[in-house]
Amino acid sequence: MHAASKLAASRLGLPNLGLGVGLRHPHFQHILEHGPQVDWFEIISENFIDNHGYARHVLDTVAAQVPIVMHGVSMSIGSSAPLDMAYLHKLRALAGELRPAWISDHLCWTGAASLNSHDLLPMPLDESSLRHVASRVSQVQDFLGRPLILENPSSYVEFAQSSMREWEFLGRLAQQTGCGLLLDVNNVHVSAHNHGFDAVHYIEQLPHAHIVQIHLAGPTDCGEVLIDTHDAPVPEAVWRLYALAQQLTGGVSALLEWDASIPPYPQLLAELAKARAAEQGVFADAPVLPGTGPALSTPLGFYLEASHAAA
Amino acid sequence: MQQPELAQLQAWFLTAMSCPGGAAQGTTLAQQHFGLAPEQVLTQPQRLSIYADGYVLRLLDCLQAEFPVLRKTMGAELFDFFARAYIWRHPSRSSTLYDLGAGFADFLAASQPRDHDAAGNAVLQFPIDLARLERARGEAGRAPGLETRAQPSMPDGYAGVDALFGDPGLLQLPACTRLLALSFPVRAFWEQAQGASAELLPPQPAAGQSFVAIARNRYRISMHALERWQFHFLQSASVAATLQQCALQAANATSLPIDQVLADAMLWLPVAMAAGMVGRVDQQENEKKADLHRPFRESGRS
Repeated sequence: MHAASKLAASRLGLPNLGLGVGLRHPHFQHILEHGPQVDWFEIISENFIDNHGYARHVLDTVAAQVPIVMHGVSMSIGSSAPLDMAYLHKLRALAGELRPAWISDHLCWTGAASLNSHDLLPMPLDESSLRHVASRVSQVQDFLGRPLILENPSSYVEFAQSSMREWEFLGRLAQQTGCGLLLDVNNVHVSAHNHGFDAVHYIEQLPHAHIVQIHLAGPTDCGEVLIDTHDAPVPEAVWRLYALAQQLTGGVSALLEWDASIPPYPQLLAELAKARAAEQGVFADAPVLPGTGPALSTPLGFYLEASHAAA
Repeated sequence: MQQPELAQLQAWFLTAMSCPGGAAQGTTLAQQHFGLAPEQVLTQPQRLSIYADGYVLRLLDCLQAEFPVLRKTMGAELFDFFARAYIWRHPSRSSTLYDLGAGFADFLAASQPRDHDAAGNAVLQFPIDLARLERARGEAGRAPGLETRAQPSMPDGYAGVDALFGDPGLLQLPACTRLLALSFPVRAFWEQAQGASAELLPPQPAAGQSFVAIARNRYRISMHALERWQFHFLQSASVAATLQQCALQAANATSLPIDQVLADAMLWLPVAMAAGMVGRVDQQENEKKADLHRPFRESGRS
């Protein structure tokens, strides 16, 4: 296949949006005053479902300037509970209003039997789970009328009955359903450390034409395990995985996540700029920082911090 | 041996991670309920504590963000104690974290001792009132407001001479307005405490019934102390009502003469509307909506 046609078939035909960051409340004022200064924004879909306040006003303003991607944390695609159709209706309605470049969520489950943990919980990776998730991905894609983009989560435990590795599960899921992949290279780094596999091998084994987006973030070193805290600069090992992923995919959209101890916007942009250097083989030498207190994976407090802030 | 079903594994995992007391008690409980030992489910069962600890910390983080002044006022340790108990007693059943704190004030009310102070208030009534205020502020910030409505319907569209002598038509609270009847004057305390450090909080005010309207105008949240008749007046406008209907309701609730309430309302209404507490019903918009939903035979076109 010629290089040009190979690239055209990649990313499921979705665009390479360039470099973006998560749209977070502490940066609203700066963004409104100085403009986005990034190629695109990712939003947490649930922050804007049933939210008609200032955050939505800011989102509508920036969406008129740069592309938006909707990234969810509540689809619970791997749950044994029935799909939450009320949630999916709201998600589709929001997408109808925002016209996002794509909609993503995680290969995970968040709850069952009506209890929501609000965590991104790992799946048992076996044939039965794969059939279950593939069926639900197809239902969601039919309902949304677009491919679903699924992210590899960070994990700290593995199920005893798992019979395949995560890259195989994701690859087969993507091939069977036509869904896209959101490759979080920090999550690969975290899970590789926690479960003792080779992060480079993980990325090499994925179906690269299905990778639509990359996530970047900084974890915390808690001794035996790394925790996906989204509260620190991206470490060198993650930048190297990022460069590899960009090389293997031929170039996809990349996004920096920073959800706790959120830095000022200029500092966030400086961290994002390191991505361009990494693509040229120059890697920032930040280490994974050790934790100084309880380390929280998937922080969501920023979700509600806007409650009492002035518009 | 047959593999456990996905539903059984996930129920086991949820039980183990969300049990009060953490992963050690959780895995014991999960084993009792589902007959699966931790080693049968996970290859590194000791790491389940990362999920169990994270479950509480993540939701605690959200409650701390939603109730910042309450936490400063109660003290971090006492607030976190009640917040953890709330998380375990009332696990989230919603896809959105916006619903998480909805029952926290009621939980505090139900959790306190039955003792009352000399004025007959529950011992923890002040924190409960603060919780209700902070929750209402959050709801007011997210609910649909008047910002996207056409200009004539904006709250400051009823002003000047018209405001004094004209008929405002039907009045209705915007979906973002919240009305609170409280046992302490918490509004002023909250405004002073919000920017203060935990060490320099203003003194807790003396108990006394207070009425507050939380309104949103151009995405800015404002809080307004109300007189008792104003509270009942606005409460009457939770469904579309005329000025006279609202005034009559307020007069009945407060035993004030209707003429006095009407006169005071005529003077106060422009202020309330400008602040976004109450708006005029957009008749044209309502008629358009009614037309859309009216059966064909009733539309006069048959």
